[in-house]
Amino acid sequence: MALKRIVKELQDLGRDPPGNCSAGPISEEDMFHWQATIMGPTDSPYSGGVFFLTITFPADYPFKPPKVTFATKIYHPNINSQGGICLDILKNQWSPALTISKVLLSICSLLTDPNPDDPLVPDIAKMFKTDRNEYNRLAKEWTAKYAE
Amino acid sequence: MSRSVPWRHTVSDACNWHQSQALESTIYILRQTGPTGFLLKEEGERKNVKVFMGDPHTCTCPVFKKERDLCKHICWLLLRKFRLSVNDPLSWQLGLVEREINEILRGRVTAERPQRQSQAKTSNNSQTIDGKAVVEQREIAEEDVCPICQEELLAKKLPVTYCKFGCGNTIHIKCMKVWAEHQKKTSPEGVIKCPMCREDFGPIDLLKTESKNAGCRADPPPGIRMDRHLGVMCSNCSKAPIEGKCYRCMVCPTYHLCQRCFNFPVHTTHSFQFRQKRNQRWRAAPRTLGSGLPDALANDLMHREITEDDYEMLLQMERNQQEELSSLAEEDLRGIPVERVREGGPLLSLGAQCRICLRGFTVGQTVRKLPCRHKRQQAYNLHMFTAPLCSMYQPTWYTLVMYRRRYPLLQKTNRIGNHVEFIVACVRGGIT
Repeated sequence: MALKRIVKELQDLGRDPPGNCSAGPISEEDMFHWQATIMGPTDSPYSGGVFFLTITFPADYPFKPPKVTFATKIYHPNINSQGGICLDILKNQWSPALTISKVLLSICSLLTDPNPDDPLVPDIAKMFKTDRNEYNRLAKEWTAKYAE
Repeated sequence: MSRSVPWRHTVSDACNWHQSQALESTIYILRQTGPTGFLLKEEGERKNVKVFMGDPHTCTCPVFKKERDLCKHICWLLLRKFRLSVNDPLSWQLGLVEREINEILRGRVTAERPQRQSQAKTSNNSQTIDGKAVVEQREIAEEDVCPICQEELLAKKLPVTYCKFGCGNTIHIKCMKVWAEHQKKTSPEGVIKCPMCREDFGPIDLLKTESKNAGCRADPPPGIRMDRHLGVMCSNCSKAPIEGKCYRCMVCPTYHLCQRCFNFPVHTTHSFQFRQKRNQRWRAAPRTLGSGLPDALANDLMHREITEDDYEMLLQMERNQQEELSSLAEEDLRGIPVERVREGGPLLSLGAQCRICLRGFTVGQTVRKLPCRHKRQQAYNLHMFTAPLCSMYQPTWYTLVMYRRRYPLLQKTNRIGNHVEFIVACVRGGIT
């Protein structure tokens, strides 16, 4: 089931690729490990950056969520230094009706609209809430440093 | 109350142009700052605009400031959000007075209400489960997929269920069962949620009943090797039980072969069927020993990688099989049991569905009941293709081919019996 569905998703990604992101298996042999890229959304301080993510599918996908982490460093209140993403649909709000394409789109919108009330990195969340200009400046700086 | 700007009897050119622009562009409402204030964002545009409906309307976009006529943002709100018609004079006024604004705000409410009423009506007509109203199943379109396995529903034709208390979307029973069990494991007392709308999907027992009524195959108990064909002995080399692929003669009831003996020219007069696992269906086993491939070639193929050069040969084998599949006598149609759907009958039980169009039955419909010995009581129920509900389904040869693959010999013999009826009904229902 898992492999069949992953292959199906790969086909669908090829047929109807989502804007600003791409994804695919790292090697032909192992369909359970993917790499994805997200272009920083234009209306965010991450604009111009290309962010790499690694995706690992569990054996009982799509009944369990895929593990998605950022491989590129990013300054964001909901993404920690290990690349872990705090996103409800990747945890308790996962549904098998979600696909990688939808998950990547959600991550894109998380980049545009951070959720400082449920932070993974409290310092960045505090910065986001109190000093938005400084947050924007740092996020831009990190994007230029690591993602360009 | 007087207007700050005079009433316009005709639409201005600029406004007309902006209206058509508005209808073509994608604009989102980011925030509603009040009953008549909106923060809008147009797709692909960097800047958001603030629109106020009133006397006069205002917008923060440069076009509005320059032209002093309705910009496309205001037009979009009037036409899309408040659903005014382009022929409505209110849609081209520079401003609207209190009464007119109230009118369009109310208009929006009335536009929504009939929709809700029609939904309520359908749920009144249909049944309730545990005191909760059941919504109607959504029409399955050609390209609709099961949200879990992402396979096209109408191509695969596995029994389906649908979200009865929420969105009405269709999902394979098999997939939903796995998801339900998974949810039960992670939160034992929690409700099972629909993967699409996250509404309550109903208890798992309901799903099990549906599965039974729809004739899903039972899952084999774990830990038992299904590729050991217990109690079956190879009639050539006497190996018992047969492991891996098991071949059976379609004429002699107790003649079986293992993979090794099947490759040798034994018992070549009859055709064979095979299955890999005990819980799988028997499928036609093309045997090319006598007809096409010499023994040496067959042996050779068995023990090496198949290359591109072999493609044409394999295609030939496939073609032989296809030809076998396309001859069938018309008169075999007669004598297919036809059943009328009665109130309270088993065909109306939860999960019972037409295996072609995947929809439930309604009282008064005519259903072809196709018995098949292999499935025992799990007879397939199919709407008559002429039934109005099934008009969406164009009878194709797909079903025929599918069933014929399963019972290849029967097409050749036209023997009257359960199998013949079974196959014929699937095929010819559309023509009668």
